[in-house]
Amino acid sequence: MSTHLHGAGGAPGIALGRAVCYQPSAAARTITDETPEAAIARFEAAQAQAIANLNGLGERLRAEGRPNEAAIFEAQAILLEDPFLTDEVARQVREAGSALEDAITATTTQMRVALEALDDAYMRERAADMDALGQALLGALHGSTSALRDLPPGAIIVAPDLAPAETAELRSGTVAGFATAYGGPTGHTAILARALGIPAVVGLGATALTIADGTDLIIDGSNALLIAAPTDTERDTYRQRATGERAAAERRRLAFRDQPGRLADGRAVGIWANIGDPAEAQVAAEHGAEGIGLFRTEFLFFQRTAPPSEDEQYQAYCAALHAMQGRPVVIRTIDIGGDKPVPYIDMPPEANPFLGTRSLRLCMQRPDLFATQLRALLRAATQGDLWIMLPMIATLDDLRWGRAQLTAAVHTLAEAGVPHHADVRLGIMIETPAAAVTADLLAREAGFFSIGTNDLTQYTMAADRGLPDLARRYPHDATAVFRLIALAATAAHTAGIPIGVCGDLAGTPAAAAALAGLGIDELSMSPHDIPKIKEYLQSVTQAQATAAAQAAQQLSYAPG
Amino acid sequence: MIETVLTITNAVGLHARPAALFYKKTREFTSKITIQNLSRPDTKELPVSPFNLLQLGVAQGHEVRLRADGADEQAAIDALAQMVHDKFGEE
Repeated sequence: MSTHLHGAGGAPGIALGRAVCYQPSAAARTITDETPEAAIARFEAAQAQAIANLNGLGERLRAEGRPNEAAIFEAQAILLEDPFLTDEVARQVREAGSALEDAITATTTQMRVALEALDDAYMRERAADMDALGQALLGALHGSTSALRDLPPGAIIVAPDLAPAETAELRSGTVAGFATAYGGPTGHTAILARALGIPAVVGLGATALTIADGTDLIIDGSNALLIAAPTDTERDTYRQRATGERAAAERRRLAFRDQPGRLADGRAVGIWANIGDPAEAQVAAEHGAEGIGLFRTEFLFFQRTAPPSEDEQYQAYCAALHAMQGRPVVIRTIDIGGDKPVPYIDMPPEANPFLGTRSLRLCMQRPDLFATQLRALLRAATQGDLWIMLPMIATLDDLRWGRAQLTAAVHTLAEAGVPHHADVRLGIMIETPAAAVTADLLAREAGFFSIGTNDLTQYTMAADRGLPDLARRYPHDATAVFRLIALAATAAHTAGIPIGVCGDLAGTPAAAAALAGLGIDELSMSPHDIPKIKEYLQSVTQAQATAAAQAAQQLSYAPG
Repeated sequence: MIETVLTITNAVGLHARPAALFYKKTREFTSKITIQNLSRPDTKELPVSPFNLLQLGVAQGHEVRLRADGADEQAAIDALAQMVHDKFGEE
C-alpha cells in the first residue's frame, strides 16, 4: 500500500528512486546526554568520524591531482586529534556540566580567539580554521554535507530543508530528486532544483521525516506529490510518464535551441541563462541560451577552508566563457552573507543577515578577497565577452567603490605585465528598492542593469522569501515590484544601457511577457526554462506585451 | 630532562605538513616533550601538539628549544633534531 504526501510546491519532473534521509547540520541542535561519559563517548565517535571524513576528502583531492587542497583537509584532520581540544571538551562536559555541542563550540571558539590574539597575519588567518573544526565535529555528530558526496545513483534526498551551502554539494548529477519537509515554492531548494532540472517536492510537512532510508519513492514535481512505497501499477505508470516527459522536453529543447528569443512580431528579447558553476554553462548552451545573465560565483567560496586562488577562479571563469563561445557572460562578484557563512570569512552573527554586511558590503570589509576576484575576472575577460556585475548596490557610492577597486586591479595587472582586458563592462544588480528609485542616477555610471527580482521582492515587500506563507501572499509579480522594475527600465533606456532581469520572474511565462512589454532587453532564467519561455514569447505580440506591462503595474493585473 | 636548541631551516617552518610530521614523531615516545619558540619571546613553553605548534608560529629561521623528560628522552630529542636537520624531507 503506497503513501501519498502532498507538498507546497516543487520543481517539475518525475523521479523514481530510493530515499536517502539527510539531517542537515544544525549547529543550534543539542542532545541531552544521560551522563557526561555518554557525551564523551559521543564526542570520541564524532571525532573519529570527522577525522576519517577529512582524510577521505584529502585522499580524493590528492587522487584528483589537487595536493594543495588535500593538504588543507589533512591539516584539519590532525588538528582534530589535538589533546587540547579533546581535554578541554571533556573538562567542560565533566566539570562545567555543559552539553556536548556547547562544549565543542566553546572550545573551538577559545582556540580561534587564542590565534586571533597573535601578532602574526598568517596565524590570524588560521584562526577561522578553528571554527571549521567545530563545524566538522558538529557535522559528524548530526550528519553533514560530506555525506552528500557519496550518494548512490538515483538517490532521492529526504530532508527537513537544505541550506544553500549544502545544495552546492548536489551538482554531481547522481541526485534523482529532492523531498523536503519545510521550505516554500520560492525557497532556495525549489529554485535550485528547477535550476538543475531535478524534480522536487517541498513543504511536505514533518511526516516526510518519518520516511525510512532506502524506501522506494516517486516524485511528481508538477503536482507537488511524493509517493512512498508505490504499488507496481503506480511505478509502471510513472516510469512511462517520465519517459514521455523526457522525450517531450527533448523535442522542445531541440526545436528552440537555435532560435533567438523574440516576440510574435519579431522584436528581439534575449533569452539568457542563470548558472551556478561552469559546468552549467554547457547545459545553458545546449538549451539555447543566448548569453549567461547571471553566473553566481559562490560555488567557488563554499565548502572549503581557505578562499579560492586567483588562478582557480580564472580557470572557472574561462570555462564558462569557452562553453558560451563568444556569447556574453555576466559574472556576479561575491554575494555571500551571514545566512550562508564560510569558515575563512569572519562574519559576526547578525540579527538580520539579509539587511547586514553581505555581498558587496562584505567585500568592503575584505577588499583582499574582492581584489583577487577582480584580477581573475579581468584576466578571464581576454577569453570571451565577460561582463562584471556588482550585487547589493544601494547607493551611487557603492558603485563608485566597486569601480575604484576595478581600476586598482587593472593597474596591478598592468604593472605586473599580466595579460588582461582592461575595458570590461561593469554593471549592477538592481535588487534594493534604493537602487530602483535612484536608477536614473546609477544609470549614468553603470554599464548595464540586471534586476534581481527575488531579493528586490523580498526587500520591497519586507517579506522573507524563506517563509512559504509570506512568499505566497507577497509574490514576485506584486504591483510594487513591477513599478520599481519600470523605473529601472526607463532609466536604463534614457541612459542607453542594456537592462536584464535575472530573478525567477523571468522564467514565468506571463511575467516574461510583461517584462518584455517594459522593454527589458534580456531575460535570464534556469537553463531548463529557456525552451518554454522562447515558445511562449513567440505567441505574444508587442501590443499584448505592452498591455501586460501596463496591467502589471495596476491592481487589475491577473497573471496567466 | 634534556634539552636542545635548534634553528628551523625548512621553508614553511613548523606549519602544515612539517608540523604534522613533527607531532606524529613525538607520539612515538613516552617522554613528555615541550617546545618553546625563542624567536618569539612572548610565547610560552608548551607541550608539542598540532594546535600549540600553530600558536607558536615557528617560521623559517626561528630558534626553538625542545625539552624531553622521561625514559626515552635522549632518543626523542635525537629523532626530532634529525627531522629538523633533514628539513622534513623538503626540497
